Amino acid sequence: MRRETFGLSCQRSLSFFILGFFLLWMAAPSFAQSRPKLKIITTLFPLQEFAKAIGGEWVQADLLLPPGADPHNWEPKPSDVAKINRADIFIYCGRDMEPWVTDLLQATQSNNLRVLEVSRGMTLMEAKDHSHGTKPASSHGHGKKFDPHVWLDFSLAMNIVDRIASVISGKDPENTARYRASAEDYKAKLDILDQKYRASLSKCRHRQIILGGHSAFAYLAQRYGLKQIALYGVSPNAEPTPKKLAAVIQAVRNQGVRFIYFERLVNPKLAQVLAKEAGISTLALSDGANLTKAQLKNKTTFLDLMETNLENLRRGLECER
Amino acid sequence: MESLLSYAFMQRALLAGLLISITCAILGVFLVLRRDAMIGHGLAHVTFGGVALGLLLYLTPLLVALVVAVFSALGILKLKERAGLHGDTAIGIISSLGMALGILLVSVAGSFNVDLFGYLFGNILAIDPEEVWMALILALVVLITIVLFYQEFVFLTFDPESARTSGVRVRRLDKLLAILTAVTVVLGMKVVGILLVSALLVIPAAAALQVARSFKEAFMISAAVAGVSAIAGLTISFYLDWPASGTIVAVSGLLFLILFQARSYRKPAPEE
Amino acid sequence: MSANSSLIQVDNVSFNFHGLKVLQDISFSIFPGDFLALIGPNGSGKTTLIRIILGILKPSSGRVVLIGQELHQFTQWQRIGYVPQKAILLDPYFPASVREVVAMGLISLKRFPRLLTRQDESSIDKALDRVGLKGLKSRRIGELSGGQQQRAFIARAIVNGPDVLFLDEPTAGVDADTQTRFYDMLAELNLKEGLTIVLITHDFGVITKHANKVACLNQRLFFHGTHEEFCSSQTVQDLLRGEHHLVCHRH
Repeated sequence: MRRETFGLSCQRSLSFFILGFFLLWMAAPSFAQSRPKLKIITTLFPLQEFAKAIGGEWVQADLLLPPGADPHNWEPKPSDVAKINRADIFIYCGRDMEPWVTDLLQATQSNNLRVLEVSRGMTLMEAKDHSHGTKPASSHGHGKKFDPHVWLDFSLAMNIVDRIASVISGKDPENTARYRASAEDYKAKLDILDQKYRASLSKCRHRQIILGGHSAFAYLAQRYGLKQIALYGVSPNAEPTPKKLAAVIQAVRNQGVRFIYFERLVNPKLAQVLAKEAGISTLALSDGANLTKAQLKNKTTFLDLMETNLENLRRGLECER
Repeated sequence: MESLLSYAFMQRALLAGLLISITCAILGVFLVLRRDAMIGHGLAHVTFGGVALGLLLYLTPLLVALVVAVFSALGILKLKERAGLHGDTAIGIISSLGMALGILLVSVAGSFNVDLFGYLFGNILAIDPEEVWMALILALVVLITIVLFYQEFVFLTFDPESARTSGVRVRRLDKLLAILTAVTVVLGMKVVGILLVSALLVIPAAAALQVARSFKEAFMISAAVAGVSAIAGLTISFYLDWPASGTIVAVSGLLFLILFQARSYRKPAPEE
Repeated sequence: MSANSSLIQVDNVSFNFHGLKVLQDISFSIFPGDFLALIGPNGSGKTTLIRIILGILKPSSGRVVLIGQELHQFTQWQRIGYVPQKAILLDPYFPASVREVVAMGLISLKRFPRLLTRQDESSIDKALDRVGLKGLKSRRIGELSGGQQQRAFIARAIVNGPDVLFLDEPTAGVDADTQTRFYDMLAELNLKEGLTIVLITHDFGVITKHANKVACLNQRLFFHGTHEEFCSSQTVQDLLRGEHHLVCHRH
């Protein structure tokens, strides 16, 4: 009987606690909403997603670029300056990814603004722009080009998540614990993704990603022991030379691959020409830096994009289950 | 490295490149003489506006671009006639307006579709078989038109007033030339890209005019310069690993310099 | 002076431009075989008058009859030759050969497509021969001297064998010797081949030597008659004063 009585009062207090907690929990959002959300502006889509995942309802994370725009080539508008002036945090990747950010930041005047360059301090790979292979590694000199697509290496992406959490916490120290917890949640997802990739890409018939797009996947390739052969350099500007095209066609022929990759946000015409010449089909890869209009409509997430990438990689590289 | 011709994309580049460059070179003689040399560049800007308009209205961008380009070319003509502006001023006005229209429409539409812009602004290395046919038909249409109206175009370019007195329909031929130019710029741009079209409308003609002693010579030399530039340029770029368009234009520039030098050495034709 | 035998008849032609009276009530006739010198100060409307006769400008009032037909109905333009003022090229590198320039004169007679035949080539040769430019057919027009260029333009104007040739100050900026030879050539065409010539000029020498008719224009046509009448006219004597005897002593 003692047990039952204990159980009953236990239950009652438990339900009391639960109710109370519930009420508190219901009240909490309105608590958060009674103070303004942190305004965050990011240049790249993954950075936006990370910020949203970490900040939850306490932040308003917006993407500076409209869907379909190329972050490498963006020309900032006056309204962009205004947006950033009103923001609390501005997050971008790095000078090699968004060269236009320097000028943009010079134009902004805000004491409130915290700027985060997520790739700062990371050891970047050198940009592979020429068909003559990689140049020997040397110091961070002037005019040296580096490959900024770090977020496609999920371990580095996790690092980025931490940095974003730090800067958000810096602006709102009271909720540091919350932000840390959310960051860990998201990092766990990235970790799972990483393991999936590792497992899926371990045994593949081909180990070369032949891409009729720009060299965005060097970090990804390196992490999983693959090679990237791309038509354009690190930014999709320079015209590929005929020799480059011929080299890629040769690679396709030598490898005997049945698919060549293209990117939706980079003119796919050359990829299609290549595919036609070699008599094969195309598959899409996305570097995640921005979304197409359609993807935005479908509320595609960065993780979704990476999952789709994995499927297409497995198919194109003919990997075993 | 296998030979250049074993790649289908190079074969198409050579063929279409040759056709487009010769078409541009021949039209270019008229354009340069009429002080309309910048029209290729100008109409390229206008085409940008036309594409944006087409996207906004959900119509085939190529057709809209053609229509907009033709109207712009005629508009430039009207500005020259009515407002008495020189070719470069008229072109500057219309091309800036076209570009501005494009930028405004793009921001209204929210964003642009990369694919469609790529579709309209081509690359000599990314020519598909349909575009080779397009180049062939364009070349035939332009060349046949010029042959049919040859004497009249020549007279009109040389001395518009006397031409009119002699019964040449100056206004109509001006319009015909404007339409031919607009169509060549839009289609040429689709096949080989902006840089090549604007350059090939000017440089081979300018080179020919350094030494040509007659209209016939001017056309032949201009076409030859363009053809050699296209073929040599593509070949050199292939073996030296240089960008194709840039190399072609560079070769044409080199030929211009050579002919410019030749100007001082050319002896007058012997008396008969 | 009956209307029937005149080649060109101008009746009461006036021309106003932005309120300015450029030409006032001009009436005269040009007869076959005339070598008419049209003189007058700068701005007197000489070029405007020629352009009206040729249909380039529309008169404000009056009419023109060309070879028996009203101007607006006239279609036989190959019978009229015209060498405009300042026909000397500003761009010496313009890619037109002498042959091509003369060929332009043939266009008015041709139907679409106006391609050149072998007969056309021989017409071109003949025209060049008549003006004394035979050997220069393949030269670029800009390579020729000023006087030679003018001859080329004349060849262009006469390649169709016109009845009348209009020239607007053809020897501006040419030296005296060249001028003389030039006018001698014109006179030969006029006398030997019966080509009617209407010449706008400031050069009194040509009036002295070659013109058989003179017209004086200054918004109004205040004189039109033969050379003899010109020289005996008191009005003209008063106007020209000192230069009068320069003009009127022939032989």
